[in-house]
Amino acid sequence: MYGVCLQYTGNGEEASDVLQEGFIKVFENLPNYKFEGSFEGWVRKIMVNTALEKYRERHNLYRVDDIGTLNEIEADIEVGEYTGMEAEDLLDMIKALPPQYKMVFNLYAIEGYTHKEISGMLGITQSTSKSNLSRARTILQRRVEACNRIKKKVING
Amino acid sequence: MADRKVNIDVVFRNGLKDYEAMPPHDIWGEIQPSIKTRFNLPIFVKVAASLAVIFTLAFFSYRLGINSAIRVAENRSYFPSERASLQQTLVQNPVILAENRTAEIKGITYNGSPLEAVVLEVTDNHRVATNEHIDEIFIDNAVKLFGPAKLQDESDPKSQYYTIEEYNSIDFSAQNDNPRDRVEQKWTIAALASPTYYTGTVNNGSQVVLSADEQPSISYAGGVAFSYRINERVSIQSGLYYSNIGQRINGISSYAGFGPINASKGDTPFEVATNSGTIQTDNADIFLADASGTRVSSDYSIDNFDPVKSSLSQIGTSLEQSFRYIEVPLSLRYKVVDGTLGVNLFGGLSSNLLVGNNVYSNNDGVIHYIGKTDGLRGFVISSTFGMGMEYNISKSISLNLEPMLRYYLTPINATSTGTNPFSFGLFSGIAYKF
Repeated sequence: MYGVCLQYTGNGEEASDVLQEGFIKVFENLPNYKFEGSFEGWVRKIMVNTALEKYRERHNLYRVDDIGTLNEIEADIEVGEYTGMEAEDLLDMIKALPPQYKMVFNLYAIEGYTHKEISGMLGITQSTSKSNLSRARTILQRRVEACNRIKKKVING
Repeated sequence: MADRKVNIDVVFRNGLKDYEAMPPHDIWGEIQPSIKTRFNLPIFVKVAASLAVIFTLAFFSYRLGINSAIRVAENRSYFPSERASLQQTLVQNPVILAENRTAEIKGITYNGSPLEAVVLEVTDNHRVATNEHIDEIFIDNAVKLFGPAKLQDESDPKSQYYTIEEYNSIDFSAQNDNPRDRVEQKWTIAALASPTYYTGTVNNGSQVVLSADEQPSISYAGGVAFSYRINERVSIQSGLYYSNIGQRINGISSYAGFGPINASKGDTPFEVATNSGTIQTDNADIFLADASGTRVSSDYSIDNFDPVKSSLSQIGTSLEQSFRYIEVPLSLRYKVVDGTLGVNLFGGLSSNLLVGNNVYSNNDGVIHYIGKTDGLRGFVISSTFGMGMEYNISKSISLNLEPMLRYYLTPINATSTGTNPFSFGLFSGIAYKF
């Protein structure tokens, strides 16, 4: 679960806070666990919700203004001969995203929420959510491509 | 090699799927003292769970016990400490006193032959003996049966006993309902509790669309039941129950801190359409945002007011409707199987008086009061049907387990939506007969 917390926060300190608060909620709400779905899924949901609360508490500190809206771009990208990435590398790329992009990308691409649901969770419009996702994807694509090029260079000498 | 496309979402989703990271060690130490003691399960759950466990243990011990025949086959006397357990066993199990053997019970020696070498079934069904009378079974080579046929002359002890020949000719199946054993017990009082699963049917087709985000919730019921036995099989039952039913409405976010903004505009309430009636907020500090855009109506909406920009804090992601009723049932109960483990069927009507109507915002079980549901009827009639199982641990006390289906004949709301809920409960409890 610490990995999940790292995904949603920018650094280890924030992730530790989320993990700690999340586990307190897990223990406090154990009697309310309805045995619907897996227990791990339930705990993960609490961690994500806790990270969202933390994000909302601090959103004014690092709010990203909507610089116009951007059409949602394709998730499929040309990266040459994709050689695979280490989880640590992928996590570092997500952590380096601006907070709101990070939230939208995690909620959409990893957790599978829709833009409608994300707009309710983050208090943003659906078009902002789509725009944030596009920007996040663009940034991540560039980083994956760059990482891939370096890897190929190392492999090919 | 040709370039190929990869899906950036899939790259990250799969790449991080099994990713595990070790958190700093000091985190765990700080969690322990922070946890509040909030593990108090509702009392109904505790009672129901305890009774279910007791019932299950009692049932299995009964089933296992009935199949194990005890042979009193040793030619020896029993020590006082052994007698008590032997007597207990004799009442519950068939006893076979083998030929050419003797056994001493409560100071009396019994012979296995010739006349006493019969198979003596000492079972509850036959009501041949009780714990206190175990030493009277073989007096004068006869068997004592506590039936009226041999009790005409109580001054003559001999007339109270059957001979072996008479005993063997008795059709015990016809003797099972010995009225002498039960004639006095007309009344039963029982305490029962149950978790209940609630859901509803909607009469108006246009409202069915609302059902998509409405999710039944597990709630609780409990109370006291009285019954009066009219004859051997039929009894009439009433009582007083308290029940809590409700449902969850997903997709509606609640925010706190709206009070100052709302007050400046004249305290605008929020209305939320549900199949059970319209929710009206009476907590002016609450702002409601509807993900679907179909349920919430107010002067404010997520389109013209951004709760996040106005620094409201989110306190819930769904709403919980809770309806509490006091019930007075009137039902008939028919005994299908009589014995240590009894089975009966029951059905009837209940009058339900609405005593609680609250709506809460919910965030992973943390709730806050926000308002009430409009248009609920104060009084509704429901029908009940169920099957009761009772395990008699003595003549007066039994443990009960009763699956029960309840259907509300009148809609719980007076609006055009017309919701007729039904609920399923598994009641368990203890009953006393007198």
